[in-house]
Amino acid sequence: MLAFIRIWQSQDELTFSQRWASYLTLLTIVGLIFAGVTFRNSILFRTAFYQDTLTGISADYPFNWLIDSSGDYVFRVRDMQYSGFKTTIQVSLISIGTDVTTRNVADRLALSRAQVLTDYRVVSVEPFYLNLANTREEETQSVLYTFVDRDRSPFLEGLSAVVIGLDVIQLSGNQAVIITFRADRENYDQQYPLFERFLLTLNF
Amino acid sequence: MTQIRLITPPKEQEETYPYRKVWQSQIIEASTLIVFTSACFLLFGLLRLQLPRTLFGIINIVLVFLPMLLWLVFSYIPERLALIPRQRIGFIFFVTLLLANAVGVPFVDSVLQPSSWLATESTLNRIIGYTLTMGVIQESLKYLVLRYLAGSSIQTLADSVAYSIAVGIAYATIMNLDYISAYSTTPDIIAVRVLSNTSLNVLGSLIVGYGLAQILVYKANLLLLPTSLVIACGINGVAIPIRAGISNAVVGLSAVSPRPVLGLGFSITIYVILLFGLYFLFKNSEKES
Repeated sequence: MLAFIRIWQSQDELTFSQRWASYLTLLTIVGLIFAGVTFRNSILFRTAFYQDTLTGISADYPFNWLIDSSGDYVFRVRDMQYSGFKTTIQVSLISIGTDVTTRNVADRLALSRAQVLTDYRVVSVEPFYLNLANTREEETQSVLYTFVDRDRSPFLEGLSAVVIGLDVIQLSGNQAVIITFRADRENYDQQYPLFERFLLTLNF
Repeated sequence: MTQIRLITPPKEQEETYPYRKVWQSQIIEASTLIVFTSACFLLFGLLRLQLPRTLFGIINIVLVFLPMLLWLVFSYIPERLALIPRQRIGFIFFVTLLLANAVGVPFVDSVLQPSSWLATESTLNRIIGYTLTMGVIQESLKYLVLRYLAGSSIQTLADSVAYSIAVGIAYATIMNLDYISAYSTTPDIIAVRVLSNTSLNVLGSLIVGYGLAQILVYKANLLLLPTSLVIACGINGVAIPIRAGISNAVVGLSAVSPRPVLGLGFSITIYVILLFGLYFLFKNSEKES
C-alpha cells in the first residue's frame, strides 16, 4: 500500500519567527508608503518666504516658482515648469475711497480686465472666507473668471489656452488687496491646493 | 584451472534532478535579452537603420513582449516538461500581470507621479523619492504575490528563484506595455527601457525571494525579510535616477546630445553583476544548508 510521507513542514504551521517576519514586512510596507507620501508632500508643498517691507505683505510661496515684483503688482510668482500658460499667484494693491465695497472693486476689475484679456468672462462672484496668516478669519469676496491666453505674435504656432482665474478681494483701510490665482484649465484643480496654502500664510 | 574473467563494474546511475534548473533558464533568458536589446540599439540607435513606420511598430511590440516570450520558452515550457513541475508558476505569473496592470502601474503613474516632482530635484532626493514611491509599490506588490500565493509552494531556494523570476517578468511586461502606450518612439529607445525594466524587476524580485526563502525554508532571522524588501526598493531607487542621469543630455554651454548608450551599458552592468551576485548568494546558502 502506498503512502505519502511529508518531509517538510506545512506552510499552515508557521513558526513564531516566520509569522512575525510576515507581520514585520507588512508593517515595513505601510511605513515605507507613509514615508513616500510624506516625502512627496514635503517636496510638492515646499515653500519660500517673501516679505514686501514697503506694503507689509508677507507670504510663503511655492518653492522653485519664479518671483518678480517689477510690474503693477506687489509681487507675482509663476510656475515655470510647464509649457503653455504658467500658473500664477499675484498680490496687487489698488487705492479706493472710504465708501467702496468689495463688490465695487470686483466690478471695476471686471471692466478693466475685459479690455485687456481675450474672451474674459466672469463665472461667479461669491463670498470667500480668508484665513489670514492662519489666525484671523475674514469674510471677503471672490470673483471666478475665465479668459483665453494666446501668444502675442500671430506668427508663432501654438494652441490658445483657456485660463481659469480667481480674484480674492480684501479691503484694508483705503486700499484693496487683490490676491489672484490663475492656471490653465487643465491644471487648475491640481494646483489650487498650492493657492490655498499660500492664502494660509499670507499676512498684511 | 579456472580462468580469470574481468567483469565490468555496474555503471552507477546518475541521480535524476526532477525539477527544472532555474538558474540555467535565467542565465539563458538574461543573455538573450541583453544580446537582442543591444542589437536593436546598435541597428536603430547607432547605425540609424531606417525602416517603414509600421515595421518600427512591430519591432517595438516584439521588444515589449520579448522578456515574457523568453520566459515562456526557457522557463515555463521546460517547467511543464519537468518531472516535478512547479504547479502554480503560470497562475502566479498571471496574477502579477493583473495586479501590476490594475494597481501598481496606474497608482505610480496617476497618483504618485514621481517623474513630475522629482525631475528637478537633487540626486539624493531622487534616489529617496524613487525608492519610496516606485520601488516600494512594485516590490511590495510582488512580495505580496510571492508570500501569499506562492509561499506554500516554496520548499527550496530554487522554488523561490523560479517564482520570483516569474513575478518580476510579469511586472516588467506591464511596465513595458505602459511605456510603449505612452511614448511612440524608435526601437532603440524601447530596447533600453525594456532591458532596464526587466533587469530591475527580476533583480528586485530575486532579492525579496531570497529573504522569503530564507524565512520559509531555513527559518532565518525574522528581520531578513523586511530588510530584503527595503534593499529591493533601494535598488530601484538608486538605479532609476542614475540611469536617467547618465543617459540624459546635460544642460550646459556646449551642445550635448542624450547618451542612451550609457543607459544601456548601465542596465547591462547592473543586471550581470547583481544576477551573478545573487546566484552565488543562493548557491552559498544551498551549500551551507
